[in-house]
Amino acid sequence: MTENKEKILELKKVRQYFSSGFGKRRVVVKAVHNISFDIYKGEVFGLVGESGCGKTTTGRAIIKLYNITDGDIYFKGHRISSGNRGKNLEIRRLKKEIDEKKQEINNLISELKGEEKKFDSEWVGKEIIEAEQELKDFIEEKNARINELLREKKISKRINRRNPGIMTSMQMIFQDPIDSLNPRMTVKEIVSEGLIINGIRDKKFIDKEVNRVLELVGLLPDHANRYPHEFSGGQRQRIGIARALIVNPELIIADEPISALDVSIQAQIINLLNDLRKNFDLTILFIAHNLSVVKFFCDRIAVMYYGRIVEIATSDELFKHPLHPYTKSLLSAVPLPDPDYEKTRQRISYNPSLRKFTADKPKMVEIYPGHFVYASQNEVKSYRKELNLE
Amino acid sequence: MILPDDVILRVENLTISFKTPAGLVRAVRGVDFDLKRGETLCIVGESGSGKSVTSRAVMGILAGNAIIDDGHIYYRDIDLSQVKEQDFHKIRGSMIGMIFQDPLSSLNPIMKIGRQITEALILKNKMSKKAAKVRALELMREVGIPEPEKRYYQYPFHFSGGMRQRIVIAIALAMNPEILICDEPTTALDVTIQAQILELINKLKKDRGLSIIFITHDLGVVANMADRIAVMYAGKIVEYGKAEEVFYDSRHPYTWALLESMPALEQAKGQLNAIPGTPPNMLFPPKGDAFAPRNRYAMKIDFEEEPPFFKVTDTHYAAAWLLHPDAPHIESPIKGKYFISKGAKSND
Repeated sequence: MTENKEKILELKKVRQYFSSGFGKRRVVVKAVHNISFDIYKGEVFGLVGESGCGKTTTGRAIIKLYNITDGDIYFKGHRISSGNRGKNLEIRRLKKEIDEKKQEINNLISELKGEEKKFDSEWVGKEIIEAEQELKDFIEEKNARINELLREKKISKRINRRNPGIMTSMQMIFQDPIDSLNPRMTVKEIVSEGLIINGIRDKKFIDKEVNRVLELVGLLPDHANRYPHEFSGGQRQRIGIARALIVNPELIIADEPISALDVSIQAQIINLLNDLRKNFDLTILFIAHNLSVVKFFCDRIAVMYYGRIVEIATSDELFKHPLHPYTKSLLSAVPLPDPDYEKTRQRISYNPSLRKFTADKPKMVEIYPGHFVYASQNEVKSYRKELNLE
Repeated sequence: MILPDDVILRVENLTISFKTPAGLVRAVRGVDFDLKRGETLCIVGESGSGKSVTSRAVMGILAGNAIIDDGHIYYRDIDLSQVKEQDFHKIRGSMIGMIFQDPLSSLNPIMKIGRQITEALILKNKMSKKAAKVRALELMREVGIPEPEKRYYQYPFHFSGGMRQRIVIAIALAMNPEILICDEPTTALDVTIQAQILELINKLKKDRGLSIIFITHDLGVVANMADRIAVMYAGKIVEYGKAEEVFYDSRHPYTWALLESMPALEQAKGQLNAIPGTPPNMLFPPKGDAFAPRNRYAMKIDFEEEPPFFKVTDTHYAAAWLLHPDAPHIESPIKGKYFISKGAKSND
């Protein structure tokens, strides 16, 4: 089903590292560690995981609040972010190789020179010229690759610059509706900011647009002149959504938009997002940790654990056949509003140290069309048995 | 007032208002409940429904602008609503303990964990430092903190969210209270950590015979923890009963709406039944049933007169006019399609 659909966002081997301190005290936090996934047009893609697993960082890296460390992000076929860590590492490796080769050839030459008296000087000279030629060729070959990488680095520098065309088609909704709205700005100023930044000065047009989006999210036009503190949590979140909608985005990154809200208000916001998605053919990347909402709202779900994606599947499939042990433990921890069920619920705990991958390195495997899991070869076999595929 | 043997705490017609520049906010408007010995009573409701205020009144830590207009809180032979602040410290902590929502802000960031746990033991029990340390290490082991000897000398920021909440529980238990009030103890935590903390609270309840008042808005957590449930809305209890009764045979439209607004596990994609509107402004408490404007089953009388409690069973009461013998019979919208354990699918 998803194969015919257009990819709207593509992440390829994205890494996001944060470093602090210098020299010996330098600490590198590998927040996102080599993740790849695609989001198709019109779907809701869920990203779940415990706090600190890198799901928010992923969302922020996509919208370029951070410059990614490595990998590429494509939006509608265009590369929008590119990281240089891999290139830098390769350049460093190539330079080291050149140095080693130089050392080797120099040693050879000096050895040959030392033996000049023993042998025919003409032969030695020929040998030396040959060795020098070899070195020259080697350096040329490696330099060509280095230059290529440097060129790519330049390109990615250009790519990583702000691109207003992309910025308007991607928007973000934040978790905390209190912190994410400036208390000194009126609702109208908050919502219209996106238009003004994009160079629109026509006041009538701005007013019209502000009223349009406020109505879309279920607020009244006369709310526009009030300040955020006059609204309840759910209404504030609606303002946040209005602000995202005003530039007519295609992709919305919703970073835990409902976790700070009350139960009854959560349902209102989910319904609102659902309506908007249907009416405007929006694609939503939904970051959350409430699994029952994620199952209800998302088409496909990716489970993250310590900076890696451990499983991707459609939401029904993931809840029916969770494969990765972390996914299982996550699902078993969700309390449901059903006392009899709760009394029998068994929690599975996940202990990553039990899984040792010394020889058998794990990788993303498509175990079933559309169901990917991060596993080693042995585990893949046992998962297949679990699903009765063999 | 002498309480029956099995009741440890009784709240009667508790009414609390807050003085604000805009006027009196009627946060709690006549709440009655009993806490039985060794049970967990869950108070469920939206923010602003008065559930936290009620528990704070029991603990005697209401804000300075709060007034207890009416009502009594009986604990043993004491009326807690009449106890003066200078005497309350004998009860607070040693008989009633409390855990708060955010474990980071309830710990002192510049004080070592060990000192925070032993503080009450040294001040109140007049223990020596050495004896208090032994006791603190015991407590830390009891709440499941690995390597307590090492952790004893660490600061709160060394701990993860779940571990911090364990520390807070250890502090609350240091004086061996009989009643533990948990005010949304897991809202700030992840699902996996939340499950661990809930397991810990259940274990402590069993081991120590604690009576627990558990405040939350997450119905999943309620189903896990509760023996009895009180549903609060706009400063009043609208339904109370045993956990099974309130979940499987709920009678108040607000309880239905709460359950409906959570996606059930087998629910098809589409719209959720959200509760329209927002809770009422308690500066101007509404006439009649406070939930009526948001209630799709509201009748004329709901807007005019407050419903009394109607008895469903001996342990289950609900304040809804729908239960009046003259009211039209309305089938609960969640019956038969919501609960997995009750064969949700087969009933469709």
